[in-house]
Amino acid sequence: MLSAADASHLLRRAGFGGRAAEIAAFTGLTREAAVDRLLEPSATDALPEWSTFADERRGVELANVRNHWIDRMIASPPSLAEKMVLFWHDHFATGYSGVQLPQLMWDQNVIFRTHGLGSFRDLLGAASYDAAMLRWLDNRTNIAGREQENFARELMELFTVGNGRFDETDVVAMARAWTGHNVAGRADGRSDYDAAQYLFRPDRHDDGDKTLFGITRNWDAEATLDELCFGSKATATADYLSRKLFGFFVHRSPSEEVIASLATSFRASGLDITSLVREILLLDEFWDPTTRYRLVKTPAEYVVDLFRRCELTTADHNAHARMRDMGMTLFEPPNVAGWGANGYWLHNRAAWTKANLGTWLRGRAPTFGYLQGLDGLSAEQVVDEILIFLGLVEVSPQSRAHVRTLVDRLLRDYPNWLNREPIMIGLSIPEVQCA
Amino acid sequence: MNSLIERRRLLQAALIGGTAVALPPMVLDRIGAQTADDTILLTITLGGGNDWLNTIGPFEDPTYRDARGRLAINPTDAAADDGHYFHPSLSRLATRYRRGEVAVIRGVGEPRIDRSHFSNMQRWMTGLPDGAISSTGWLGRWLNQANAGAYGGIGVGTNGVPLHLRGSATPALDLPRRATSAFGANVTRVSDLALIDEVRRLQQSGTDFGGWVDAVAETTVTSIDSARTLADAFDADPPEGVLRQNLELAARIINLGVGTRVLGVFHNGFDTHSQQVGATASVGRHADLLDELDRGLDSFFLALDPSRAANVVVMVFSEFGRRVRANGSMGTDHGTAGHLLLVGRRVNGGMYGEAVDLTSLDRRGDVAVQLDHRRVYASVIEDWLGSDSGSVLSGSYAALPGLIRDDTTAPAPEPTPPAEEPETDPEPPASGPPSLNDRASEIRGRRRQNRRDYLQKHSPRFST
Repeated sequence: MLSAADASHLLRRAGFGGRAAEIAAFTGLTREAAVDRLLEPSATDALPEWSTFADERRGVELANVRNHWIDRMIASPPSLAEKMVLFWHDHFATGYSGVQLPQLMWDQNVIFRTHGLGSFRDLLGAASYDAAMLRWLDNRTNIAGREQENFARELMELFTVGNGRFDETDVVAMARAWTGHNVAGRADGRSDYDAAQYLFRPDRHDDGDKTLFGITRNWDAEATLDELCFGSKATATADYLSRKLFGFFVHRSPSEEVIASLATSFRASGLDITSLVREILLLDEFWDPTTRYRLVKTPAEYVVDLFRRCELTTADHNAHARMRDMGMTLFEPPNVAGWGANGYWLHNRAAWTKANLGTWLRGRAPTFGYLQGLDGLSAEQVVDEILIFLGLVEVSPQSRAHVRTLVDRLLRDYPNWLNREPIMIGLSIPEVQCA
Repeated sequence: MNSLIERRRLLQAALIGGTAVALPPMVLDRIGAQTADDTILLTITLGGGNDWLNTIGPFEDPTYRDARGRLAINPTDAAADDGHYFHPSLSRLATRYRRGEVAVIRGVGEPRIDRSHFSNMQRWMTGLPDGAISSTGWLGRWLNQANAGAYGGIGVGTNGVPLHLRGSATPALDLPRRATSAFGANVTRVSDLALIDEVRRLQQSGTDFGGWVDAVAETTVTSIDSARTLADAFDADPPEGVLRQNLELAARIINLGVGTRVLGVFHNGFDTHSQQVGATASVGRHADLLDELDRGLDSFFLALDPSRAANVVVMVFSEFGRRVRANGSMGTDHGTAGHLLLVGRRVNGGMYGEAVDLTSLDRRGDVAVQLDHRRVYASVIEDWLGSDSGSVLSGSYAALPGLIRDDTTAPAPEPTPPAEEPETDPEPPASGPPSLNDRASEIRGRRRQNRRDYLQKHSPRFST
C-alpha cells in the first residue's frame, strides 16, 4: 500500500508532480493499481487540429505549438503518456533550428504521444520516416552513390543499440540501406509542408548487397529496423532502452543484474514500452527510500510542476522563457544526443531563474490565490501548508528547520507578507528542485 | 608568494579601504588565481552564417560584381586595403585594421563540410575532429585544463552556457544581458537582501538525502555568490543595441578582475536568404547587423579598463560563409568558408591566408576552404591563452604562426572616438522638471546604493 510519501514520489517521477488531492487519491493504492492508473489514457488525450496553431509567421506558430505542449503537461491529470512525450523528445532529440517548419515539430510530438507507450518498433518506424527527422538528420538527401550517413549513424548510436555496438562499416551499410528514403520535394508547386513529407524514390535507392552487422544481403530500411529491434541487435537495443528508461525513472547507477532482467523481459514482450515502464516502476528499487530525490528535475519538470500547483497556464506567464533561461528550450535540444541529466541542470543561470520565478510567484500569490488564508495559523502549521502545497510530503529535518526559520522570520518581521512570501520560502529548500 | 594569496591580500586591502564589493570568503576561494596580465579571449559568434564576402571582400573584382549583382558593395563606399574592402558599416573596424589591431584570416572552415547551420555550428563549438558529438566545447575543455575557477568562463546574454564554453568540471557561468533576473544582482530591497543571506546560510546545513539534494544547495550558494560578485557589472545604464549591451557587460565583468579568461556573446540574424540589402547594397539588413558589430566592438574596448585593454583578444566567427552568387530573393544561400577575425592590441594585424579565389568554385558555387578553423584554435590556445592545444582539440593542428604580437611595447591608450553626429534633434537644455528617464535613472542609482550599503554592512568580512 502506498504511503503519502510513496504517492508523492511516484507522481514526481511518472508525472509532473502530485498536488495534495492527487497524492491523497494515490495513497493507499497498491503499487500495481497506482502504476496502472498512470497508464490509463486520460480525457485530455484528444489532439487539436493544426489549424488552431497556424499563423503567417513561423515564430508565432512555433510558440503556439510549444505553449500548447506545455499547457498539456500542466493540465493533464497524473499520466505517463505526457511524461513519455518529454522522454521521447529527448531520445529522438530533434531541433527546430534544423527542421524549420513548426508543423513538423507538432507532427513529431503527436507521434511521441501516439506511440510513446506502444511498441518501440512502431515508434522507431514512425519517427524515422517522419518529415522532422528526415530534415533534422538529413536523410532527405541520402541518395545512392552520394550517401549521407547522418541518420544512419544516429539511428544506431542514439536511438537503438548505443555507442560501441556497431562499427564504421555498419554506418556505411546502414546509410546505403536508407538511400532513397527521401522527401516529396518541391516539384508540382507543393507547399513547404507537403514537400517535406516522406517519399520513397526507388531510383535513388541502392539495391545492391550490403554487409550490415556481418550479414550480407540487399538490406532495405524496414529490414534494418527489424534487425535492430528483433534480429541480431535485439539484445543491444533492449539493453540500451532499459538502461535509459531506468535512468529516467529511477536513478543513473543501476546494477547490471537489474538492467539485464529488464532487457530480457522487454525483448520477450516484443519491445512493448508499457511493459518495460510498468516493470521499472514496480521494482523495489524504485520505491526504496534512498531513491527519493535522487534525480534533479529538468527545467520542464520544475516549471510544469509549479504551474500545476499554482494553477497557471502559459497564458498567465511565459513558462517556455523560464525553461529556456534554466537551459532547456523545448524543440531545441543542445545537440542530437539531447539534454544531460542531474548535474547538467545545476548552474548559476538555472538557479537565478528559479529564484526569479519564485519572486514572480510571490508577487502574484494573492491574485492567483495560491497559499492563501494562512492568517492565524501557528508557525508549524504554516510550514505544513507550504510543504503540502509543494507536494513535499517528506523533506529532510534540516530543510524542515530551514522552512521553519524563514516562517518564524516572516511572522515576526514581515507579517503583512504572509499572503505572498510562503511560496518563495518553500522554493528555497533544495528538495523542491529534485525528483 | 603564491599569486592567489597575493590576490587575496590585495582584495582584503581593497575591502578595508571600502572600495570594493564585499566578497564572502567562499567566493574568494572560487576565484581563479588571476594575475594582472592574464590573457582573456572574448568570442563573438555571428549566428546564421555571415556573408563574409560582403563583409571584407574584393568589392572591385568584376567576378565579384557579376556574381553579386545588386548585392555588390560599391567600392567607393568602402574603406580599402590592398584590394580588400571593409563593408561601409565597418568604418571603426577598418580604422582598427589600419592601426594594425585586426587579423583577417581568410578561407577558414572545415574541409568535410555540409551546409547545415546546426552541424557547422557544432563543429565550430566543439572543435573536435569529424563532427564528433560532444557535450563539451574547445574553450570549456581549455578552462578545465587551466583550472580557471568559478568565473573562468562566462556566456553573456547567451541563454544557456554556449557549447564552446562548456567543460566537464566547473561549469561556466551564463549571464543575462540585463540584471532583471540575477539572484541578488538586481535585488535592492534590503529585506530581500537579508532573506537571500538567510537562504544562503540555511543551504549550508546539508540534508539527510545528501547526493543531488546537497548539490542543489551548493549550487544555490554559489549562485547567490556569483550574483553578488558580478552585481556591479550590471549597474551602469545599458547602451542601445543588444550586442552593445552584451559587449559592454562583458567588458565590465572583465574589469571586475575575478578570474574570467574566456567570454562568449552571440550576434544572431545573419541567415540572409532574402532582403540582405536595402535600397542600395550598402544599407539594409546585413549593413545593420555589421553596424551593430562595429559599434559593439568600440563599446567593448571603450568600456574596458585601460589597464586590461592589452590583455584581451576578440575572436569573431560564424558557422559558414555564404554562396558567392546571389540568389533570386536579394539574398545569399549557405556557403562554405569564411573569414575569422581577431581584434586586439596584441593581435598582429593584417590579412592571413590567400585572397578568396572566386574563379575556382566547387560544384555548388562555393569558395574552397583553405584553413581548418582548429588551426586558428591551436594558435589561440598556444600563443594567447598559453597552453598545449593537443589535448584540448583531441588532435594535433599546426598553429598559424605570428597571430599574436610580443608584448614589448607599452599599449597605446584607446583612442577617443570622434563625436558622433546626433541622429535626432539634441535634447533641449535642462530646464524645468527632469524627464521621466532622468527620474528612473536616479531611482535606479539610489537603489543600487542601498544594495552597496547593505552589502558593506552585512556581508561576511575576512578575518586577517
